[in-house]
Amino acid sequence: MAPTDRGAWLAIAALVAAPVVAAICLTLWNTPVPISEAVALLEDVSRKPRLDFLVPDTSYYRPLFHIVLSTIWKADLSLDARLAAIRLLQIVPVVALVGLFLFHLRPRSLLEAGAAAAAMAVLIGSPGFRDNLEIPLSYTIVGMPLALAVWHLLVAPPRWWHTPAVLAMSVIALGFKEQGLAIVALVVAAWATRAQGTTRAQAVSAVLLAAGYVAVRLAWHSRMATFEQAIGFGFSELDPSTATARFGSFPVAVYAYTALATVANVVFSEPTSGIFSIVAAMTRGTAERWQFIHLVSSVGLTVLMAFWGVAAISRARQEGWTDESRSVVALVLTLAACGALSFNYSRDRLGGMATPFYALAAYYALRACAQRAAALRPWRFGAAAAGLLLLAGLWHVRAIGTAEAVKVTALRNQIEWLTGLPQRRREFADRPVYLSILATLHAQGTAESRPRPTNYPRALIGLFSPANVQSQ
Amino acid sequence: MPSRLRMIGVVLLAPAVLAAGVALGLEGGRLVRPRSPLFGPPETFTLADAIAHHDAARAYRLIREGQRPDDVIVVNHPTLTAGRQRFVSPLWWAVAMRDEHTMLMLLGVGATIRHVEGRDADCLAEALGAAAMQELLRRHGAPPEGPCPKQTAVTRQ
Repeated sequence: MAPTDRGAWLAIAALVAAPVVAAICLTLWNTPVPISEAVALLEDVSRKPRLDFLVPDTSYYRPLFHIVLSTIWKADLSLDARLAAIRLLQIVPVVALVGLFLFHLRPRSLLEAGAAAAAMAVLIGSPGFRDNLEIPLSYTIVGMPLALAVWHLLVAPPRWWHTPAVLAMSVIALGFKEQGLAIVALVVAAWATRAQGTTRAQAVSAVLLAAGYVAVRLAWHSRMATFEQAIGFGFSELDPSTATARFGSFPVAVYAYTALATVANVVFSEPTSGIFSIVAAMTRGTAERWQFIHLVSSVGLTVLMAFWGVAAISRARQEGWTDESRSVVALVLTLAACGALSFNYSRDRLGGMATPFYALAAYYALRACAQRAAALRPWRFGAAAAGLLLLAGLWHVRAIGTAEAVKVTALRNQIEWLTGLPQRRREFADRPVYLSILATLHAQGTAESRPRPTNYPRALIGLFSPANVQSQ
Repeated sequence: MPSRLRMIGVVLLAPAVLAAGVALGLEGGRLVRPRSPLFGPPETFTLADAIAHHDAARAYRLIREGQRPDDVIVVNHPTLTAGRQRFVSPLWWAVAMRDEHTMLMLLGVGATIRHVEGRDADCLAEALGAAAMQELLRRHGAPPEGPCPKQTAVTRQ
């Protein structure tokens, strides 16, 4: 291909991804800031001095997030400007993640552009991405593009500024949430696979940073609850007290289950929060089409990636490491990090840091599969092409489902303002700051012109998102 | 071989183009025809219509603009009012439309339940077999003690 093709195929891949990404961002821009979590977070940042958030005396230690939120909320700006800044804290990372993803892949042919577009759908349609689009909880969505940027620098030709940039991005991601530790796994993956932009000193610094972080957290907060939040186990949810009573004497096995549940959610879309909800719906005969789509597309892609991953690692042993084979190690280590960091409870959003690397590996797996299929006999080639069409199609349905999911969240936020206000006022009657923030945000929460889920025709109901959300 | 690779490229790109078209069509449609049934409830100008279309935000706006949540409204329903116009409370109408969100919103802005015809939302919920709504009305609406008026009898839907 001519060098000019590089930009052209990149532009085409970006163009086909743009409408879904724009739909997501536009919805986030118009989403009301909710009562749940948002008002309490704003109360926190209103009451405490900014630097107090650096003290790690809480299980939910996100100092940079709180400092940024505090800076925005206390800024001498109009309410609209401050709310816009809070929304941008969610939107900018989404745009950065998508842009960096395509920039890193840099498709140079029609095949690569097609694989990049499908991988983009994998990124957008994954639960780890979807569950991190909740305003104002930008903890992990900030870390996701940073992780991808770090990986990009690690596998690029070395420059003097790469090491400080990698460390700075690691600290920022870590400051937003402990899931930022997944970046350390990336540095180790790059070093272990002899990536050209990595040095032993860089790997040692990253590991020391992680060890220091964990030590500080443990030193300050040595007694943590056995279960901080409700956990999913099998087909049901257990609240913290029930879980402690049942597993408190030997929680390690449940911790392992919960960690594996987060990993499985990234690669199979099941279980969700530790609960096998899709399997349960299938056995009850109540599964909706979106549930079949999520399970089939994830299992299909992960099986394909497993075959490709084994082949890529075998090749790397003989021929040396490439960006393609490195992406297998990056995925495995970030999955392990996300699993380990979610040992206490599993949520879709906790797999977020591994999600870009699942999508990255999907790109290489789809490209490799396509190259292999091209050499097959005609009927086998036809079957392989049909399979790839189906797989890519299902993931694009999921990507549109993510755009619908943010609309559902917007509507839920509005309904919360319309129906939950009196109860909150009663419940928090002794917290004047909370009440004043409720009053300040009330108008934006109840405004009429807020995003609503699409009322799809009957034939499409339940295809992109749960059927019951359409009638809300 | 290169033509086959291009063919698979098209196969992988085709769903992306289709998805982009769907997203563009939907978002473009929202901008051009925001009141299309595809994108939300139609524009309404009365509390009765807003409730009938499950538009809690519009109902709330009408109340903020001066409509009192306990003032009776005129409604017409083929079964519940036997196709005739009838004066009922907004809360009663929200229960009749099985709109839990609007019901809770109305309770939040001060709507009350009374055991007189057309204002007995809890009795209607019971008659409709809407147990969840009945429970919410009991919890948030403090319905009066005493029997329901006879006129509440409705056919279960």
